Amino acid sequence: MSWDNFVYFAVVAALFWIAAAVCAAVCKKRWSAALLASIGTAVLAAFIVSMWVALKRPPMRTMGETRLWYSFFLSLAGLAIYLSWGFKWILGYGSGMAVMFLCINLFKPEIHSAALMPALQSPWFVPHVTVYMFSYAMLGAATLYAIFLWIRESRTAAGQEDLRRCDVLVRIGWAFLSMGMVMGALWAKEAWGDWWSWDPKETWAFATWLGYMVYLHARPRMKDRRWAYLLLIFSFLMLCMCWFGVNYLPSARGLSVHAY
Amino acid sequence: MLLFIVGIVIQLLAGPVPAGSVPSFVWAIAALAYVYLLVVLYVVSDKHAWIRRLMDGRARVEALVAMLLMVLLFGLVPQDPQTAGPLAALGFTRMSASWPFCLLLLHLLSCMGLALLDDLGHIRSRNLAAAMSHLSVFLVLVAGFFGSPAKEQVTVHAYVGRPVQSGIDRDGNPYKLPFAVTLDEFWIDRYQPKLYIDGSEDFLEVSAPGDSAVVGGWMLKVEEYGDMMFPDDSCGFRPLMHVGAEPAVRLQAVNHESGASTGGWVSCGSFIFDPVVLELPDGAVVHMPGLLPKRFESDITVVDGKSSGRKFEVAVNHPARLGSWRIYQSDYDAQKGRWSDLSVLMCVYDPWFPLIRLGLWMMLLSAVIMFATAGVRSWRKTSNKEDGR
Repeated sequence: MSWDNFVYFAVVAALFWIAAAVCAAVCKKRWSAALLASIGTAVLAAFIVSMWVALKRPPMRTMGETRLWYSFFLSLAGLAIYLSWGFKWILGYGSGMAVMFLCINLFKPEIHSAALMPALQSPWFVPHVTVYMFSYAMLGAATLYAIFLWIRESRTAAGQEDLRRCDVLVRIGWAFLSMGMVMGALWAKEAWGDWWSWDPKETWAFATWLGYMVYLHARPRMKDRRWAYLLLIFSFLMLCMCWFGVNYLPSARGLSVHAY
Repeated sequence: MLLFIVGIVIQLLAGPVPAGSVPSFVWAIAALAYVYLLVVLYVVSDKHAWIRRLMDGRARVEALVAMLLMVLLFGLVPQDPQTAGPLAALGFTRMSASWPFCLLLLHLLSCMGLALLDDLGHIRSRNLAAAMSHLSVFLVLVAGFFGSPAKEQVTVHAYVGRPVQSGIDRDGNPYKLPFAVTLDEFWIDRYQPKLYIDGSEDFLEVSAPGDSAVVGGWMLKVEEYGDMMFPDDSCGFRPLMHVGAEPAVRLQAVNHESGASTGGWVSCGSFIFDPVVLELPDGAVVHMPGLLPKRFESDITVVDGKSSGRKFEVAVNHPARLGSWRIYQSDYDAQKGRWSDLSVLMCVYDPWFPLIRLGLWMMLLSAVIMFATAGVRSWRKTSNKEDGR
């Protein structure tokens, strides 16, 4: 098995994922979309395992190999959330992101062997980034929904079910956020000897985590729904700061090991 | 607010939190005493309204908001212990060692600890994810808060064949280790050399003669390649197993559009000879950047009072373990690259390691439970119960 065979596996996996996303949107039963997505993920898994056997090492030393794992975990996480909560859009999101990383590998084969620095050669790398991608997706969805509810307030007051949907999205997003933070800490200890070093990215990740913690604790006590919407928007702004804003922050320039 | 003001006053009067001057076992006793105090407070909370006030939902939100505001400040103010000025006087430029931050963190910890005890006292009616979350985060924060001052981080410069028993700690002071480290061998595995042309993102990765690629409109073809090469006046480069030898490539460059062609040697250079580039007829230059490390490892022997010599292989993400000490591969002499006879090791003493790791894995588990139970309707009932509604 080699990268020469990748195109066949990638095309088959991508077709199944796209079919799964379409099926999720139109089909009433979840199982058909889930089955299609599972087959796509299994096809990619077969390629990964075959590469592992051929290389005689886990395929996670180059950027190209890392992107295989991104595709795998993104499709898997999307499937897990879809099966658990039935959010139709999440299967499309997971599949879309997974296909995107397959495409990067297909259309930019010259960067397969792009150097992966020693610190990034860790089993924690891909899961750490993948769960963060999912948490951002869920929390972004919660924010968009909150903005929608707020705008709609003038015509229709949000009901308990509307707010509950927000809460569920936040809890799932916060769960993934926590996983990402913990994985980062475990990885940092292995790589650098420190669980937490208050790197600017870590500081803003903690601020984001706290912001959503405030929401989770304060929401049941809020009498005015607008505070909930405001808190979600504020927390999402902190999330954006953590995600990419920190690269432009004067207090963080040149200090963050996460700057890329 | 009150705690913040108290913290500011202490900061202005006494400076940063003096964690380093206290022996590590004292912090362990302090942690146990703190947890005991929380248990006592919880037990007598029925009789004292002010303690119940510290445990209720509103107190938790206040503690979280206060911590959030401090962390926002932490993220916005440049962290530099060397700066002076009003922000430095208030402790904001070295936030993790400042009194306001530490006091508010302790307040959050206390609210969380009391919430945890309340969860444990009413476990059957509590949301499992929330209870696990409280327990795991409390464990991590207590271990981190009281364990951080006990941690030692010592940078050791180890040269091949020379035992070393001291290094430099985080504050820049000499530190004597309880063991001696001898670097037996340092080796580095690097990615293959790549040839670039200015202004082009494409490159030619070189592994053997015959390799070719179109880079920046030029067809580059490798005619001769050696991994250990040295400059030679007569033939450009020749193979030589010598300190300072680096890869060199003799290549042919052809521009099919213009028909121009040229050839010559390209090398990344080393600490002994300068890089060699190939100038193309159109003025562009073919160059070879320094090779990137794929993996670097130190084979070390450690001698302490208990053994005559234990061998370890230390690499990034693969530290060596010696009791409560861990030895990490930190750096090497990048100028010498593959010829580095220096390995920079980081020796970390962290007696609270097992507790923090346990707490983190529990946090991971509680996050999974949170994911699985995110829509459970009893969530709201539990929150109402905490407020006595």
